[in-house]
Amino acid sequence: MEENRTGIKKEIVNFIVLIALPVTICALWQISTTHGWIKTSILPSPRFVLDSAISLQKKGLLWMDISASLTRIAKGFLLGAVIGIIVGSLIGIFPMFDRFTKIFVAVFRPIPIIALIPFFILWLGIGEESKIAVIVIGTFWATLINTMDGIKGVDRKLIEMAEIFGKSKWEIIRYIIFPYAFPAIFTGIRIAITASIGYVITAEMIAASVGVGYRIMYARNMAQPGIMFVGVIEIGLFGLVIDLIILKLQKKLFSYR
Amino acid sequence: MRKNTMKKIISIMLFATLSVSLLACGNSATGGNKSDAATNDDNTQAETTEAASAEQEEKETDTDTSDTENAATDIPLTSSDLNVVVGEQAYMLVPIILDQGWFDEVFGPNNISIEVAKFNNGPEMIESFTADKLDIGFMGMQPAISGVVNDAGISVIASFLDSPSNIVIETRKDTGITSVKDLKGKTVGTAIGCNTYSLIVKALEEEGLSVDKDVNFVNLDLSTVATALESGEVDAVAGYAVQFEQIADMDGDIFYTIKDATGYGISEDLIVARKEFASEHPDVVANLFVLFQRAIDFIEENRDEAISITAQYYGHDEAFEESRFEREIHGWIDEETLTKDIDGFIQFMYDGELIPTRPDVQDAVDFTYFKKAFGE
Repeated sequence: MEENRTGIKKEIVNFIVLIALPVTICALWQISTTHGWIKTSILPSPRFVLDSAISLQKKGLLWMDISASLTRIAKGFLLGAVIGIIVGSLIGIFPMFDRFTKIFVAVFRPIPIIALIPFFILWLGIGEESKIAVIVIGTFWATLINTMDGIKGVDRKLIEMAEIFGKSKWEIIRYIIFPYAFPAIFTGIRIAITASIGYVITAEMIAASVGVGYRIMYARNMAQPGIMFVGVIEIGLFGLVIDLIILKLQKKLFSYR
Repeated sequence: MRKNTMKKIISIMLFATLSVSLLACGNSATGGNKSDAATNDDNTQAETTEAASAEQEEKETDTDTSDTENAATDIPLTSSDLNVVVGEQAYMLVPIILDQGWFDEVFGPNNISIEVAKFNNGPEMIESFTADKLDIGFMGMQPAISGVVNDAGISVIASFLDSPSNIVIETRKDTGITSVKDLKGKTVGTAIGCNTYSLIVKALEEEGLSVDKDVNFVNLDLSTVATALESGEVDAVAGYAVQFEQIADMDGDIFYTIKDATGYGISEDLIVARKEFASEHPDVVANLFVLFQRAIDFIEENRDEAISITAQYYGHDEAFEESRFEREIHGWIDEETLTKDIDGFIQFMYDGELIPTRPDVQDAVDFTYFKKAFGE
């Protein structure tokens, strides 16, 4: 009984600590705007932002924009991650392939994806293809690099030992290399999906007719800071939810370690 | 001994550095606003025209704050020691004024510097007004009204009339689109928040169509609408006629004008002022009006020279510039007409849910400074 009470108290304290900072920021934000310390045309109050979100929801635009952006992220991320893991694995496992792609990786990897967005629009147009392509490329690099590094980081002694025991190449890849490299691959996936949120928003800001990025740009051009903030908060919540899902997945998948 | 010498040298160097930095920081005072124009970094450039400082004796005489006739414009200029930021989007008058040195001539004696900031569109200017970084600007109806509604602290103080054929809805000849009705289900683009967007919304509404539901609308930067149409990315766009003419000159007669802005009340170029600045310095605003009129007169009397000046300033070729001159700035609009047009436009934006509240037109328009300049 005592233990239960202590456990519940601890949970309550943890929860209070967790929400203390966001609540304090919101309170200060609301007080500042209410008293006119900050111009509401520059920083709308939390209440105004909430009203803007409700207004978008009533028009059916809130979920329309969120689902358009999330769909683009999902499509681009899946394609980019699969290609990145395959190519990264080939580079990590086969030294010849590593040499073959070395210069390509060194030259193209550092190019910021955001700088390539106008090119994608030029080559692929202003439709879905250009926006998904941006996410594919961004995801590809993050997963490729982490996959490649994860595989190259496998303890060589384990592989040598497996070879001594007569294990086939495929068995070594399946039972030693990939399990060992999986945390690094997963880190790449986590980086990629978080970055893809930023890429899709930027692509939507340049040329789109729906999506969170488009809505932010629309609100900016119509001098509606409340709606701009709704978009910014949506982006933050995307990141939060996706990260929580990935962390939970990570715990389950890496229980073997 | 050596250590003491080193200490002395370092002390002298530090003193010299401090003196130089204090001198550099204690430069011209700013009055109505800060001297940097805070706008989108990718899209703006600031040019500062520093007015010459007055002689010390003259300054002392003029600081007794009595009205001083301005010999250049005959409008008293009592403000002094200011930096004024004027925002412009290729409206032609400012380059003429700069080229002829009229800012210096009128404002220089009072130590007022005029800084010119270039913008790509009205919404960007509204951002600067909201941040109190801009004092006067030129823009279309829609951004001005959005700014009024969303508390940018501005009012419309005058307007020029453009030719309605300046703003058009354009398509390619191969799309088969010949009327606004044909736009249903098509991809249409322009810059949200600009006059061109208003034209699309109004033209569609006339045919019982909605920009949100009946067309696939794409937000495009105004500078890219013509190329987006040419490349086939969109079926139709709204833009400025000269953009399409320029491409047609190079690539042939590929475009078709579906509609222009005739009858829609959006071919007006507004002059907008930050309320606080204007109320504190009405003399500066009035003198600016006089200079704008002087530039208009110069264009009428020295057309070829004006074309050359603005072409050089904007980096356009002269043929393109000549085409713009035919379409833009066809005189001032009177207060009654402007108030009525703005009221109608506010209603249009409110009905179309482009603005959340309906402001009183009297809050949006203030002709005081125009009257002060021209005595009307």
